[in-house]
Order: sequence, then structure tokens, then C-alpha cells
Amino acid sequence: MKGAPPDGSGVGDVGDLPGVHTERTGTTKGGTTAPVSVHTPRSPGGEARRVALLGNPNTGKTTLFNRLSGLRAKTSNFPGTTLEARTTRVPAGIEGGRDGELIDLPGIYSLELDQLEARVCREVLAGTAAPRGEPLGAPEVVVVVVDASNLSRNLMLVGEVMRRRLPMLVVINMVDVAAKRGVSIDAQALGEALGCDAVPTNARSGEGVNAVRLGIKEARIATPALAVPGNADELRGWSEEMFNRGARAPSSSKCWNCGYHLEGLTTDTLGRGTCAECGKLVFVETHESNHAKRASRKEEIPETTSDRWDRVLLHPVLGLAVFATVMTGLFYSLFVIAKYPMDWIGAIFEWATTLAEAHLPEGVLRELLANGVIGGVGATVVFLPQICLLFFLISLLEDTGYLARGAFLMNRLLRPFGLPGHAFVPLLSSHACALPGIMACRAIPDPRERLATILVAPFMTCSARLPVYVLLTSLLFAGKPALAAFAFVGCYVLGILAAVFSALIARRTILRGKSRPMAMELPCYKRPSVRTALLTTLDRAKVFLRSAGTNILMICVVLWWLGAYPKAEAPARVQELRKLAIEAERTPVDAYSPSHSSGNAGQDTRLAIGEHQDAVNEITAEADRLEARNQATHSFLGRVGRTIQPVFEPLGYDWQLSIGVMASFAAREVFVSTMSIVVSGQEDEGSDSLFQSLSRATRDDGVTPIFTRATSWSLLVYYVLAMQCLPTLAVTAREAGGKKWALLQLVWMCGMAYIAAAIVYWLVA
Amino acid sequence: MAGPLPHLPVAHDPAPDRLAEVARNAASAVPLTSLMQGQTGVICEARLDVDDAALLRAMGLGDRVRVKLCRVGEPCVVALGTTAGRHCHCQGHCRIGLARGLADRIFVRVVA
Repeated sequence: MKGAPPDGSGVGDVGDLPGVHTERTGTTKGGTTAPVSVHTPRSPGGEARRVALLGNPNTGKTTLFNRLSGLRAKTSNFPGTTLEARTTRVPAGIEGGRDGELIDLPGIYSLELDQLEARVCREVLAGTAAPRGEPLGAPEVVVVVVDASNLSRNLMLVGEVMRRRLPMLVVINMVDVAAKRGVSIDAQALGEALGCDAVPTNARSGEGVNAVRLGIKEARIATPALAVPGNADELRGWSEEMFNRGARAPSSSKCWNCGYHLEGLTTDTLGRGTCAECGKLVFVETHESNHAKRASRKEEIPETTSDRWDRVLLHPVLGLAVFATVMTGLFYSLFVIAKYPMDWIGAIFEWATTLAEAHLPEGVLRELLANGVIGGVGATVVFLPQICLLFFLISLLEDTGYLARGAFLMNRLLRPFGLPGHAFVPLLSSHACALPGIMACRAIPDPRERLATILVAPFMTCSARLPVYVLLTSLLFAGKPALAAFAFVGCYVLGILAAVFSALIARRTILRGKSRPMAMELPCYKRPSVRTALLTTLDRAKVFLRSAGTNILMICVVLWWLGAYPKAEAPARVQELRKLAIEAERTPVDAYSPSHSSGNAGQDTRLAIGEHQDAVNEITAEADRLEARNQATHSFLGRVGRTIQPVFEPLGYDWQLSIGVMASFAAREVFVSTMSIVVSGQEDEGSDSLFQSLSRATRDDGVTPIFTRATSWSLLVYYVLAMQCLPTLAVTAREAGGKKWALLQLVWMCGMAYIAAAIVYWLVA
Repeated sequence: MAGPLPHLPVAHDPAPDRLAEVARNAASAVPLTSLMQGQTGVICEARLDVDDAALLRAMGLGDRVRVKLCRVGEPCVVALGTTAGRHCHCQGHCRIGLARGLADRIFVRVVA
């Protein structure tokens, strides 16, 4: 890690004034006049150095971040944008000094682009934006990650950062890829040209990461050999000049890892050898051989393996067939693989409920813990495996480079509806959860298309809808799994159709405007990093569990309280049944004498006792059901349900279903646990018993089932289309730039759901 | 009497050359989509709005950049090649996918 020593020009004048942030117009070296922001770095918290990680997309920035952070990263947002940032503490290590607080900024091509990510990056560098919960302040160090295999373009961003006069470190990542392509980077020469430290790394293997840590500690304001021009075209020339200075093959090669001179090193036919100093694999190219290679390739752009793959994967027919297969495989594995851990989690919560009921004294605390907390949270947490698996698979796909191709394939299908191909990834992510899906919309460059995608993303079947779908399709097609699966897929299709239909209407009315044509870099296909995918999944799991542990827990507790109070007196019928049960239990065992039957006397006695006990249990269960129903009817929840029931009358819902639907406005997945509480007075006792309990549940007349065929279909359609997620509305308001968009989303989706559900109910009933 | 005037070197004005180059380019420029697969061209004009042009420039598709058409159709895939006659720094491995509507408005001069 070498570089030219700082000459101090333009630095010392403000360097002694901590906390100063001034703007001035100055003449930089080379005579280019441009507005120059001079930031004196300061530590926002006074403890850790704030370090911003910046770079072009697909430069391995997040891989490096994961290498630096290990498992300590946390996800947070920038206030006002909901643009996610991952932050972590980087330990100072053996060199001593302060820790670093590392912020992983979104990948951008230029700081000057009119894009949301670029704006946030600009604001972070200016010190006017910081991750939520962190104090404002310009970063003390900017680490610019550049792709060694495409260095000249990446250096344009380096130039833009340099113009901001912040201490910086250039990390030349993917040096192995560059070496394979015949580009050898002389980090020392590049560092000297740029006037700051330049560290070669291979973030994927972890090589050079310690040097990055040291570089962060020693970062300084760059003093480039050539002044950075302000004009974009001139900046390109500047970056090429920097490239030519840094990427020329050194006459005396040095090891990229330790700087050891490699003269006389024996290499194989590919120019590879082992450094005698550190033992690392190095690519050695003589100046002549490198020059010859360049000359021979000057007019030639080689066909790559990715090109050959693209012939198939971007083919109008074959490409779509592969795409459909990949997506089907993704969702199939989601249900098949996630089933087992879901069962395990369900069993754990069931065991916890039983444990609480067995060991806690009867009373409010036991009811709250067993029914409100454990049961309610368990009904949500059980979907964690599906969410994790979906994010893991999406992350793997993204890492292979296929998702960019998928976006282009979808561009053809989405464009007629006014949505861009960029919308594919947000819509796919929304199948796990609408929140990250909406946040991913920031990658859509056109504001109208971005807004349209944000508005329709919640139509995608998120994992919160799955328990409702499972419940309703199982009730509709009990004992017919194939038909249930067909209905399940139909729900996904209906959601997608509703989304594109809504997008079309929005783009023809309130978001009318020309569509912006799509341009996207197609990264080379590569083997995905499981580590990166796991870390992404871990991030998402944390967010989901945080939500389950806060919002959903609160909802469950409130619902439990509303359902449990005020305490209603048990009706006469319940008291009779309880008396009957007590009397039956007191019946002496000798009443079951062998004379009552013939044959084996002992066995007959045991059978009779068993039957008697079953009868007692049945009477007790009936009494419990009636008491729970009475409690539900007279509770606060029951009163609310009866008040709002007329609104849902056209859809065929009674007051109990009305409560379930209303409670789902906080979070859809709450529907199942709410219905469990309302109908049986008990929390989820396992899937089978829940289905049986709900299928037996009746209206107030005690005869008509709550879940008739018509109401079940109506509910299914309602849940596919309705907007029932407060966090999604909050994110929509922030991402779309106003509450009116969230309100529009709520009214449009719920209105469409209401009308469609009413029509379905009318047709089926 | 004054002798004959010494022969003074005439300053070379680069403007006519540049204009001639522009004229040549304009005459030979064709939309990117009219190239055949595998053909190479140099970008000489892009009739795009400001934001699109800025994005493409940041992605490496600026004036005088040599591009090879890797795939015709939707999307149109180009490989970034040389810039202003210099060697391509990504070694021709950088691929940009362009919607056909965008590629139609990028004009290139065919070089190979």
C-alpha cells in the first residue's frame, strides 16, 4: 500500500480547524476552476471514524463490506429516503488507533446523476445525511472501491470524490479477474498518480482486507498528479490518463500483496508464479508481453463466455423458457424446503405454549403469555424460513449476474403496462415482503415509472399473505391438495394481473408520460458467493424478527386484551355442562364392573374407563367453546366487530370475520391468529386443530359456518388485492414522496379488493 | 524597396478539420441497431435526453467510444471497446444492455 506523500497544498489551511465545513471556489492544480467543497473531517460521535464505502455497481463493494464487518453489520435507513445502508464497526486491529464506523453506500456510476442513490451519496459525503440514529457529519474517510478489470471507468467516480476534498482510500478490487484478462495494476504507480493510497484486494478471497483496514487509518486528502476536471468529458480523459499511469505493466514487477520484487520468478504458461516473500499467487507480465497483448487486442473485442450464455438466456423464446423455469424452481423450493423448518418452529412455539400453561399459575399472566405473546408471535415467526430462503435465493441469483438479464426479459413483458424492466427485481422482492421491494424501486431511474412500481408492488403475494392463503385454500379444498395448490398459484397470478392492470391505469392517468428506455450493465456470469447471500439473509431475518418482536407482538397483546376483557359471566348452559363433567368425573371406577360386558374383563374395564374419560373431555371442551364464544361476543373485540360488521356485510362476513379483516390492517398475517383467538378463544394449537376449529366455527345462530364456500372465496380474493400493511404504507409515503401516494395506494387496493370480493361472493353464493 | 515578403508559416486552424470530421461522421453515421452482430463501430452521436445521456456516459458509453454489437434485438447488447483510439481498459469484457428504443438513437460510424 503505497502512494505519493501528501504535499499539503490546499489541505493545511483548514486542516487545523476541526469541525470546520466551508465551501469555496478555488483554482486547483492545472488551472481548472471549479467549485470546491473543503470538508475538514470530524468524528460525529467523537469515538469512531466514520468511513463511507462508495463505488460503481458490481465492484464487490458489499463483499468487501462483509469481509470487513463479519457478522456485526446492522441495517438502517437514511431519514426521509428509506434508502437502506448497512453500517458496521471496523476494529482498529493490531495497528491501534480508533475503530471505524463503516457505511455501505449504494452502488452508483456517478455522483452527479439525477438518481436517488446518487443524491444520498452526495448528501452523505457532504455530511447532510447519515444513517438513522447516527449524528450528521461528513465521513472522515471515503473508501472508493474500483473494479480492477474496468478501472478507467471506475476512476471517473474516484475523480468525482477527489473534487470533494475528503480523505480517501482507493481499493482496487478484483485484481485476480483483471490479471486473468491481462490487465496488471501497479497499485503503487496508481497511488502516486492519484495522490492517495491505493490498495489491491480480492474481497472474495479476503486477500488485502487487512491492508484496507490499515489504509483507512492512514487515509488522507488526495493530491492527484493532474487536477481533476469538472467537465464530464474531460473527466473521462483524466481517468484514462490515471489508468495509463497506474495500469501500465511495471518494468520490474512486484507482488500485489506484499510489494516484493518478482524479477527472475519462474512462471507457468499463464504468467503465474508464487511470490517468494508471502507465498501468494501472482500474475507476472513483462512490459513487452503486456504491450504485445494490448497491441494485438487493440482492434479486437473478444467474445466471452457470458456472450455465449446470453445467446440462450436473452433469446426471445429460449430465454423466457429458462426464466420461467428458474422462477418456478425458486418458488417451488421455497415451499418444499421451507416446510421443514416451518414445522420445527411451529413445534417449538407449541411446546413453549404448553410449557407456559403447565408451569404458570392460572390467571392473567398465563393467558397473556400463552395465548397473547407466544401464540401470537409464533404464528408470525413460523414464516421466517420462507422469507430467509427467498432472500437467500434472490441474493444468489443476483450474484450470478442473471437477475440483470431477467430484468431485460421482463422489460418486454412489463413495458406494455408502463412498467420498466428495472421493476422486475422490486416486484420479485415483494414476493417476500413489500418493504424491501418498495425500497428496491430506487434503482428505477424514471420517477413516474418508479412511482408506478411503488404503488403496485404490494399487489405481489408477500409471505404475510401465505398463512391466509394456506388457511383458506385448505378450507375450500379439504382433502384435495392438488386443487388447493392450483388455487394457491391462482392467487399469485391474480396479484400479478392486478398489479399490471393498476400500473397501466396509473400510467395512462395520473402518471402519464413517456417511458424511459432501459440501459443496464450486464455483469459477467460468475459463481455466486454463498457468504454474501447468507449475510444478506441474516440482515433480512433480523429486520423480520425485529418486526415480529415489536409491532406484531404489540398487536397480539392488544388483540388478546380486547378479546379477554371485560370478563363475561359464563352462560347457564356452560355451567350445566361443567356440572355434568364434574359429576361424570366423580363416577366411581367400580361402576365399570366386568358384568357390564362379556369377554376379557380387564380389557373391557379399561375400554369403558377410556370411553368415559373421552366423554368427560368432550363435555369440558364443549363448555370451553361455548364460554369462549360468549367471552368473544361480549368482549371489546366483539363489540367492535359488531359495529363494523355492516361494512363487510356485502362480502358475506359476520362480525367475527370482520374483526379478523380489521385486525389484518396492521399486518395481514395477524388474520390467522386473530381468527384463532376470536373463534375458539384459544391460540394456534397446531395447524390441524386450527383448521378443524375454524372449519367447525359457526355464526351466532350456532348453525351457519363462518367459513362457507362463498365467504372463503370472497376472503381469498380480498386478501390477494387488499392493502393491509401499515409498515408498507409508511414506506410508500416516504419512498413516493408524500402521504397522498400512500393514501391513494390504500384506497385503490382496498377499493378494488372490496368490489372484487363482493362480486365473487355474489357469484359463488 | 522592400524585398519580397518572407514566407510566413500559416497557422493551422483545427476548426475546419473538426467540422470535416463531423460532416464525415454525420454522413456515415448509422443507428447502433443497424449494425450486424459482431460489427464494431465508434459512437459519434447520441440523440438522447440529458439524463439518459449522462447515465450512458457514466456507464462508459460516451462519444468516440468503440463498441461491438454482441446481440441484436431486445435488448441490444454492446461490448465497450476502445476509447479515442486507445486500448480498451476493460479488455472488452464490459457489456451494456440497451433497450432497442435507446440503441436506435445512438449513432455510430462503422469501423469493422
